Amino acid sequence: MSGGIQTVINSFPLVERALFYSGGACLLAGSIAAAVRAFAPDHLPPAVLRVAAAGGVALHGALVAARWSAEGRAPLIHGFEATLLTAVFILAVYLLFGRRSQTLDLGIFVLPLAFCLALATALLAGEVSERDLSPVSGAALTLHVGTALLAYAVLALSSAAAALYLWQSRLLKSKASSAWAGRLPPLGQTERLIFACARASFPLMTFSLAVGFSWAATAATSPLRDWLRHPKVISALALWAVSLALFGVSIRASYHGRRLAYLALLGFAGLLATLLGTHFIGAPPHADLLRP
Amino acid sequence: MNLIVVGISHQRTPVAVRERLAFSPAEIGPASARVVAGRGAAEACLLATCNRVEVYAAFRGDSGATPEGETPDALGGEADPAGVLCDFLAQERGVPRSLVTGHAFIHRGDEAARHLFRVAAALDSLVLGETQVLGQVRDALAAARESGAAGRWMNELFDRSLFVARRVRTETGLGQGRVSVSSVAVDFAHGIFGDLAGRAALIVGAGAMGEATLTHLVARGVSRVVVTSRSPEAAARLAARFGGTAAPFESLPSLLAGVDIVISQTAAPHAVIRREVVAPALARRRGNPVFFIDIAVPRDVEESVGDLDDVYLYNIDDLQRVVDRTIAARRAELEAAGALVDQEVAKFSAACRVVDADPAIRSLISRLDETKRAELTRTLARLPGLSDGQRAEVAEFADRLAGKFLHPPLSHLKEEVRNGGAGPALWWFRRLFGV
Repeated sequence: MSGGIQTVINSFPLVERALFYSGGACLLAGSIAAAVRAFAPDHLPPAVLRVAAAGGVALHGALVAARWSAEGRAPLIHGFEATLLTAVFILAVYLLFGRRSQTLDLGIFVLPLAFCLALATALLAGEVSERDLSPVSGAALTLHVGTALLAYAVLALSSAAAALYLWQSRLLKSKASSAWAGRLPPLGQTERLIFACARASFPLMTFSLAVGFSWAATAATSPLRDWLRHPKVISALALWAVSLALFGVSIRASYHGRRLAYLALLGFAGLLATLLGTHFIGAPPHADLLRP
Repeated sequence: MNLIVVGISHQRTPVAVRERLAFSPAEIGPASARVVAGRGAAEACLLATCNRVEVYAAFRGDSGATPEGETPDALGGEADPAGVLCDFLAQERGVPRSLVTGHAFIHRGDEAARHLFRVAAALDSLVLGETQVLGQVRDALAAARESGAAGRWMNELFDRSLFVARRVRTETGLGQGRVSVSSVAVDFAHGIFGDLAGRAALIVGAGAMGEATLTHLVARGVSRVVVTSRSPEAAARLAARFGGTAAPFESLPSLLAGVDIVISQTAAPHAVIRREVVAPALARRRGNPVFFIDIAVPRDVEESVGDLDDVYLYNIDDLQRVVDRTIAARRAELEAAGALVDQEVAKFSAACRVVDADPAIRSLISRLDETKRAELTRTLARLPGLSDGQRAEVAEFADRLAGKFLHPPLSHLKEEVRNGGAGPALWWFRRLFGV
């Protein structure tokens, strides 16, 4: 990992490196705070999680902006860039939805996830070769990846809400005395948050795929049947299907309770597979599509 | 000033006596005024709740001793304020004096303040840490103010008691948690559904506790109530009370699919809500949670129902366990709450001593002010050539001089008075300044 950081992140200007590491430190502190909050809620107010998330968004958001300005293109094409931006989006969406639905304790799941994504960023950045860094850009591609990452972030938040739902459900069923008794948001409120995320993520995901297919149809150098079989495309379509299912359930309110929570967690598995898993079984498709 | 409280409370007086001495809310203000008008008190305030009737009064004169747990058996002559207040209670309610003196408690001075602070903070309540008494203390003061019976002393005493109560609630865990089975059940309902508005509740059987729980739930927003019972008349009566509908007992399986909360309290000797009845109903609810509150003994809901997904089953023991934990937690906070009360009693006592010294201080300030005005007028008359600005400057000079002259003796006097040395310090103050 350290070799990886030397090859890419350490080639960034000093300010950008400082933003990356200080943002990572902020998320690490937030993850530790999340663990403390999870095990001893009396000792730490949930507002600390919000502060850590805001710090992560500010520092890593500033890094993304600096990269964009320096390279003249949106920094979201390569794996490490996309992963970092996803972490920023997840934190931003958490701050937005968490505040509105008074579910700041979602940070217990969101902050460690964002920290892991920052770590993954460093890992992926270590494996970036000169070939991978070839310039791939364009408005359509930026729109496609940007909206996809935003949809991923909303799906990640719905998964965090699902985890919170299952936790509260278990607490209520066990009837045991717990420091968390009466502190977690009601199941009904968490369920409404999952529904809201489902209604937001599906249109984003659909739009992103439509733009992506349209871009690939015109810009790709490889035949359609080849890139359609690419693991990333397949996993993205699978994730879209889960997102569609969640959307349908939220519109018709046809499933509630634990089944809804499990469906949202399935979305998280799909998200991990799409964002990170395909990296380990095949190269990211966007650069590949333009290669002879 | 002699502060005193005479009263009866649930601690040592049975309800049969309490109800004979009870005052309605509308009587509190006029009765307080009668303590002042007819009994020689400078100020008074009557506090009357279902658990207590207490007369707080301030009489002119020394406060005297404050023996712990004094009872009217040891009353002095008829001039003793405690005796006066016992007479007042007996005559107001038309009961023999011995009935009052046989049950009443008396506290004087700081102990009277301590008692009120404990009452307002619900440390003396039947349900430790309850909140209702705080409003009753506030209302008692408002009524006494309105009738003209409460002045500076009662305001200071009762306002501070409200402050103490707020401190106890915010700085200790005494106000946390629920202490009744029905309110605990409602808390769990909130934990499951959040907002209860628009939710439907089914009550199976008719019992007092089930009805109390339903009352709480309806107050929190439950909008649809269905009642089923083996006695159709009882079901119809209860349904009418809550604006709900009565349904035959045989329709219970179909009713389960359409409600979010089920309160069961039948007298059946066996379970009436079985797993095989609940499981199909759940399938029709598509994962919507159901909250079963089983307050029947023997239990109405089969235990295995609680193992079903999206079912939350609480029986009477589960709810009672939460209540017991809350009460135990509140008892653990008693010491901390008592320490807060002690702090505030000390502050109140110091403030009272300052109030006692106040007439002498005001007299000195007033005399100095008069002298200053007279000398200023004479001086300015001798200096006709001064401009307005210069005249204002001279007046300011006189103000500053008087203020600086007064500051050290007044601050030292207040300090002495706060620390309990009011007597000698005030004597010297009056001698030195001729006030």
